[in-house]
Amino acid sequence: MEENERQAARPQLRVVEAGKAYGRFTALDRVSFNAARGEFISVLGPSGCGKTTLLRVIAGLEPQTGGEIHIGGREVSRLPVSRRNVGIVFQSYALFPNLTAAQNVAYGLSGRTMDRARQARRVDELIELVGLTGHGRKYPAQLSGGQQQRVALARAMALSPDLLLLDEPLSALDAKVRVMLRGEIRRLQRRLGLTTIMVTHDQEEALTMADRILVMERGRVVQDGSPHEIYDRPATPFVASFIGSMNFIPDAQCVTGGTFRKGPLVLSAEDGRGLPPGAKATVAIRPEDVLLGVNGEAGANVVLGKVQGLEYRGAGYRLTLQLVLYGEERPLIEAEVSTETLRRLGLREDMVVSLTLPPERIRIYPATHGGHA
Amino acid sequence: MPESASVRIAAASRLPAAALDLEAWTRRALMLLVCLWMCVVVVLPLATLLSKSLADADGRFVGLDNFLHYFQNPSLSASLGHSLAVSLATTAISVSLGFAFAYGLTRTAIPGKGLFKTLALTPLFAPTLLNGIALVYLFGRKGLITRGFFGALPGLDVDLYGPLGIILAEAVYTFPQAVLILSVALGAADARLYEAAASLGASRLRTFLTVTLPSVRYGLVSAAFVCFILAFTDFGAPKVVGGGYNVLATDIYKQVIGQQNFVMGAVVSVVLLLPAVVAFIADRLVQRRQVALIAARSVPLAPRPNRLGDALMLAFVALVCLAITGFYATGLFASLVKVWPYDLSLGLGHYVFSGIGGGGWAAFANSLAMSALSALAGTVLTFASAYLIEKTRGLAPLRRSAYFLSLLPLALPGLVIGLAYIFFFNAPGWSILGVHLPNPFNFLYATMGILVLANVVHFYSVSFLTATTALKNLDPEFETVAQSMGVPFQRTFMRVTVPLCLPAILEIAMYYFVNSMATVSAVIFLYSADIPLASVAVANMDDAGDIAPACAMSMLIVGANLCVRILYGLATRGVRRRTQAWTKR
Amino acid sequence: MKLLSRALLLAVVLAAVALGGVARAEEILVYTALEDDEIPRYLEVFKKVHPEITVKIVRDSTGIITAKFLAEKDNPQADVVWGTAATSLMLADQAGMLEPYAPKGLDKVRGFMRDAKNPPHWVGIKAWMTGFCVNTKEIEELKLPTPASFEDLLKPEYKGQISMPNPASSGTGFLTVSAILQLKGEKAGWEYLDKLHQNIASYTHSGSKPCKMAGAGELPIGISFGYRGIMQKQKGEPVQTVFPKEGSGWDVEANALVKKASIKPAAKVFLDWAVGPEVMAEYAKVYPITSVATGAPIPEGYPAKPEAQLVKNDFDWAAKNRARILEEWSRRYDAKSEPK
Repeated sequence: MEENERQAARPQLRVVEAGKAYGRFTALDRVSFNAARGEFISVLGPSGCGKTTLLRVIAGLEPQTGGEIHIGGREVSRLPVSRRNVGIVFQSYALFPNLTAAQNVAYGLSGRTMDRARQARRVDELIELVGLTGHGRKYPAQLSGGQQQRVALARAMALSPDLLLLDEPLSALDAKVRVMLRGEIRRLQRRLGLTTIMVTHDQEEALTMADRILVMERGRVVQDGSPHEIYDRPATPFVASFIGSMNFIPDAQCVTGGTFRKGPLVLSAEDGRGLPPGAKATVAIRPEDVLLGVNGEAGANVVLGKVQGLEYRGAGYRLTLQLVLYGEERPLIEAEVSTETLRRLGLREDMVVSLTLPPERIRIYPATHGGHA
Repeated sequence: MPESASVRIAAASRLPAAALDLEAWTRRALMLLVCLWMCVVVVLPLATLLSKSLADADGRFVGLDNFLHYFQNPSLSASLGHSLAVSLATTAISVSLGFAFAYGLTRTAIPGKGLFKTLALTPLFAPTLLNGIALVYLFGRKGLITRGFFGALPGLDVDLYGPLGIILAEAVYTFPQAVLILSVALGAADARLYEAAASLGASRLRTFLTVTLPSVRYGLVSAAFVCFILAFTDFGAPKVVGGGYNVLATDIYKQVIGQQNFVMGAVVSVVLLLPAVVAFIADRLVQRRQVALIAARSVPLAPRPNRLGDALMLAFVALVCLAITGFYATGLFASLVKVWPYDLSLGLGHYVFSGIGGGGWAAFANSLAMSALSALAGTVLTFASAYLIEKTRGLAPLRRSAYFLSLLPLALPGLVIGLAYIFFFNAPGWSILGVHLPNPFNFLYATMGILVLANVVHFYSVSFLTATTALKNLDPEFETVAQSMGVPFQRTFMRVTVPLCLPAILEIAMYYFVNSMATVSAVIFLYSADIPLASVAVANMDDAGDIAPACAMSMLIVGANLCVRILYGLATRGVRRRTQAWTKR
Repeated sequence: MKLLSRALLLAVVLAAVALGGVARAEEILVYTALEDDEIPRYLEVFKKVHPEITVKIVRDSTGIITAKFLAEKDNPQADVVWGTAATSLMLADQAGMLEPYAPKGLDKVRGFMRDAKNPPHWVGIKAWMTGFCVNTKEIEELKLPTPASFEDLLKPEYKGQISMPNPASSGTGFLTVSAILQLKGEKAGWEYLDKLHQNIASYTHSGSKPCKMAGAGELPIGISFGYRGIMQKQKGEPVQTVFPKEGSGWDVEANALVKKASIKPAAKVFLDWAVGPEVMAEYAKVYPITSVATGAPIPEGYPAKPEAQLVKNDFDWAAKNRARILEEWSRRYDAKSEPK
């Protein structure tokens, strides 16, 4: 029993200060994280941030230039991909076009010490598992994109890998199929308890599928947390703007603990309590957290703004507002409102409304974070 | 989780650890082997040739003395000018005719494109000696056209023997190459550019000058280089119809075979090699720029019917095809005529080859065997090394050198390969720093092996590029996926890579076979007594003045090549039928 | 079906015979410049006497076979040289490539047709000589007279109607040029060749090609050698062979043993046979001058007193000056062709 518990506690994947440099260019800068058994981790970031390199380093496709990789409690840093016991699904699926779906799934099994009958049973099992019963004898080109994806998944799982690696697995698919497959992959992963690392540039995919998200920027992990943490408390302006959208008011100054001034604008924010007076910071708030009113609301964190633009977004509207302030600075703020609110308030261009920026929804990024335009 | 458990039970046993580390080392060793092999068959023989050109007959180093001697001999140095002149003229003719022809095939709505293209490519299957021989039967003193079809029409006497004959023969030889390259270039047109030009009200001429020509300029340059090198290094045509008009290729032959002057042969070879190398490098540079150009997405252009234009183009294309067909039909006819021009009754007498040099049917059989072996060995070697170079991760410097070495033979004329091989493979050994090193490759000299080797190297680069292109079209992750499943690379190579590249592999095999059958230049210095070859027999019979049997032997070569071409067509169709299952939705 | 099985049986038997043959036969490699249509006739004789020896033949024009032989100096491939110009063999001898050998029956060989040393380094079998091949039909059509002498060939009406072998590659070409230089002296000789050059339409690679071109009407007159013209006529081509009034250039076709690390006994057997009476009778059927007298009648088409037709030829001079003559020749005429 004890042994089991210890096993459960031991992370299935341990990445310790993994680094990768191509000449002078640093693709991975001392990346460390763990993945617990059965955990689904999504690595998210823009193209060129190093997420694919990280995946390839974990897989053993690129030798890392520093750090260690442990899979299933074994150090595998120096082992080739073939000995790391990982299953990989590539963006292109890399299904062998001249082999049937079943032959693709069986590819890693044949040539091993497994008799034919057992092999066949195993292939049937996997095909059934991914819901492709009856399609085993078709060639990849005769399958739909989603079905191909599932074959690739079944093939990656055929050898019961310690770790499943997915490289942008859904990006080649139609929007509808993509949404459907997200759920399926997630269910399958849960059922098999497969520790999974998925690389993606699609924030929605990461938010909906992952237990945990690693956000990467320029070869570094800038935030590691649950989807909620990532969205609600983005660690840097970069994370904030990469996932969802965010209003930034740069160059604000801390007046006292939790109060910030930018020209005539004064805002209080719970997030900024720890900052010393005089410190520079960027004030940020998500458009959907901005509350609009037309009844002359007053109080803390209420400012007037003029509607400059109305952009229809289907489910609601995105408003661009210019703050009505004295002085030179007239920052633009975006706000998200539902169609219902728009109609109720009778919002239209050039109308002046009051904006409430709830102190508990405001994020403060001390100037040292900088970097964001 | 019962299901998960059931999936887990199958945790299949992995291959033993040592075997897999072995894999990376195997690949590394194989790559090294590829480099080593190219060094032995290309670099070392070339180096030997070069060193011979810098030494006197007794092997003492004399610097550039031989070259000075060469350029001081007016009859020798004149050949350089001759070679340049005929090659430039050939290039001009082939590229312009080839352009018009390719334009007809790709940009007009004329019927019968497939047939026309097939006919235009006929010269690819013939030895260049045959082009010369056919010209003799057409324009020689007793030629069909000179005598006005035996008096039926007024005759036309041209001064065939000399530059005119060479240029005509080389034009026939290089025309299909120009058509092939320019068809590809013209076929890749971007319809959007033409729509833009039309919407701006540009005239046809202006569109042609501002859109069409610039879009195929790399193709034109490439075609020009290829035609130039082929004409510059060809030996067969000037040998038959050159008369006293000497060119570099015939000089090498005369120096080596006629005057026993191997040193001067090496010198002329170097002189022949240099422009070819320059053209090779220039073409490579141009090709590299072109890659960047193609990256943009384009919309294919569908030619629109145009009555007058299509009619004119049809007339032109048909005329060219008629000329080519007539050209080889004359050869066939001449090979069947008993005593040209005195007894025009037909018979197979010239196909008996008795009492005539060259080796007769045995030579033909040897050529078939040699070509089959070259096709087999060449295809395996080329494809395997292209695979290693293309599909190995890491080892970048090794891969780059192997790639460069693989393209090098493109710059090597057959005569240069042949002569370099004599020097290299017949050397009993070398003494390096006073230590005598016996030549480990000497056993190959005067065997079928060296002939096959010469062919494999001579036609290596084009095949290598074909293989590389096919391999580049495969998903680069196939290898990775297979590796991640612990499947050894050679299994994936046999089970996935080879079946998927089968069309390219067949093409390479055909290319090797056809060219090995037709080539004279690389093997004429290398064949040995007991292995006479058909193409060399053609040259020898022509030397001895037995033109009709030489023509007959050429026809056998063409016949064999056409058979192989048909086999290739059938095989490709079979492969395509099978691959349709993989691609059918 | 029956036919197929019979063919199969035959193939098996043949293969067995061939394999057995290879297993016991001794094999020699012979380089020769004899004409292609002569060799099979002679070898048939050899096979009858020595079925146990397999003879592999490399045949090419004199210049070419010599070149090939010399090129392999460091690693000779041939065991025997047979029927190749004596001047070429003298070159090879200078390079130290020949092994002295006195074949059986050497005593019967005429003195001027063998190497003077004892044992000789080379031994002749027959002589061949310059002859003009003239296409009777064509010269009739062109209303040209038949040339009878070297001097006749300079006539302006023959301009562009004559072909001649390149002496660099062709033994016939060399013996003709060497004869002209010896007949007229070097200065006058080159002057003659300069003038002849004006009438030559093409210099060919081999000595037989001018005759074959004459036979095909491509060029009506070819400077070639006697045997060739007589053979072409036998084939039914309208060719007349003319032996020039001034006398014919000539050379001896000779044999030699190649100096190698291991000399095969079969090579000596072959050399003995090659001057023996059986094959000598065959030579005599088509050549008027053989190195061993056979008493056979002069073959049809040759002059009645063939030896009288030969010019005085100093082989030593020819061999020694070969390189110089060829260089001079190539300097003067090789670049023919600039637009006329």
